[in-house]
Amino acid sequence: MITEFIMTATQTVFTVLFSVFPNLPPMPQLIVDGWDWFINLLNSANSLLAYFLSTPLYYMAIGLIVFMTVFHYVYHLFVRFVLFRVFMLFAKR
Amino acid sequence: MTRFLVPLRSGLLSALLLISSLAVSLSPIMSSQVNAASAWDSSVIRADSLILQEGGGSTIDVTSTWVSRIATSPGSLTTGERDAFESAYLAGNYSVSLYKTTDGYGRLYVNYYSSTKNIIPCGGSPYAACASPASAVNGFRMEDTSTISYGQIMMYYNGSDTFVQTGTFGAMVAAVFSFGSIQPFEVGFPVVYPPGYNGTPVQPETRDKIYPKILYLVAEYDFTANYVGDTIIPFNQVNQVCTLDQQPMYVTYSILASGEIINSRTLKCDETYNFKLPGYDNYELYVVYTNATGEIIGETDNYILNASIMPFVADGSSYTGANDGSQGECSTIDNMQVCEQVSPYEDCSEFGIDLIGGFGCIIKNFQIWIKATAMQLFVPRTSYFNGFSQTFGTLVESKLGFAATAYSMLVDWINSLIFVEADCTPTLGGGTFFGATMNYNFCAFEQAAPTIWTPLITIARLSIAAGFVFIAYRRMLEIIRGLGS
Repeated sequence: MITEFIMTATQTVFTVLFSVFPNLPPMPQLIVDGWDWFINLLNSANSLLAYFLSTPLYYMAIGLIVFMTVFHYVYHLFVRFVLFRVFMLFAKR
Repeated sequence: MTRFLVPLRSGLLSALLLISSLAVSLSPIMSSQVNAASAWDSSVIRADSLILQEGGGSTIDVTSTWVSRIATSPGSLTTGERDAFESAYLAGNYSVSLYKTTDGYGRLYVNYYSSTKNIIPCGGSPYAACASPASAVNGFRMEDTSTISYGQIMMYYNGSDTFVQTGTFGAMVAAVFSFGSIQPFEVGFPVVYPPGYNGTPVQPETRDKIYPKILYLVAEYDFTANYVGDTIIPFNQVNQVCTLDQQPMYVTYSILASGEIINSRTLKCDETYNFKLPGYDNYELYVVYTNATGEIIGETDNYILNASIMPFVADGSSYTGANDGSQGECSTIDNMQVCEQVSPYEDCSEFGIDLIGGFGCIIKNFQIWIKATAMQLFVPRTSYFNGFSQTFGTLVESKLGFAATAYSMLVDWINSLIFVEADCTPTLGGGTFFGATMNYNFCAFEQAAPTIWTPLITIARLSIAAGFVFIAYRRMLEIIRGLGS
């Protein structure tokens, strides 16, 4: 009941906000179909990779591929927005 | 900035290398598969109507603009756990989907549509003009439904080149025939299942192998009124819920994306199955109700599901409504499955003068009441959630357009990396972009020589694992050195 009220209010707010804005154009069907094909290909390739590697090794490989990227983003964000703020806090004193 | 972008560039390069190497390794197998398929029966396989089945089996012969002819050839189709799904486009207007169930039976669905995805009108009547060119040489009958923007025209096959008389049914007809036999068993309409056929069995181990992405629950429908109502909510499964006045039934749920059946199951009372969906697009859910003899009870229901573009659904989260009660216990009476709703509260009268036991019972019931009340307060009703999902999803999709689709595509890409099921028979192609579907079988070596395969693959995996550990070790060193400097 309470959640329904919140959801209804949220939907009303969005409806009002959206009524101000024009409709964005839809994604071209060619891109949607192409992406669908690519995802199917990716799913098949991943399934095959998991079959040969075993599922744990598959996740390990994915982890190795994305780890450095994720680490650097997290590391830089942490340094810039957290450590830098803390440093400035002490620097002012 | 350069330091910031270098890891991104290296990560993308690694992913591209991985995909490229896979594509290169698959290319020779792809060509050999196509050649092998052509060798089956080149006279009936057209380039634009190629259907490949592992182990041989069904072929499609396009004999007219209007109707395709389905023939099964003798052979042994593998009836493993994995259901085979075949799809091809015939003469630009047909999509044939062939399902092989684990018990050796299959279902045939033929989608028919024009290039503009609109139903081609068959003259004044939905049946007349369609039936005319088809009646001469083919064994299929078309059915049309004009209530959906694009959709299926169903054909079914009764084992001979004559029409099967039909009534005015809804949006879906399934042809049931036996794999591996040149003569399908007799199929009338309503579909009469062969003795011993109890729908598609859904085994627990099969359920466990399904990784949900966007999923739906169909529940709480009033079966006696032949009306389901707004009871579809995003959930992680399709569940056949039973009620007292419900006839024993088999419910076939089929989920379509872009007019193509991507999953279909027949469930008995209290059976559950998790549907796997690609992750974006608009989906249609067809529900067909039959009793134990195959007679269709009530009307076929069709739903348009727009929930796929909603962020809180596309992440694979599950939802249960406040009104979802216990499903009760099912029993078989006169070969009919009857399910009884069970009250969640205990009967405290059985304690009699046992005041302590009675008091404990009351406390327990109070706890149940508190929980149910809290659910009523904080958890939306199923019907409300369904309505909200559809309305909000439509709103977001209509307003945000390509942005909403792009978000769904991103979620879909991430999910494709996360939800992976090891499979040695991948399917490539398919869809409106690519056309024919091709299946590959990489299990041959494992099946042919398991005694060699097992130690070889174990050694290979151990070596790769050691390599991974070494790479991870080097990267950790790089990070530590970077931190030190």
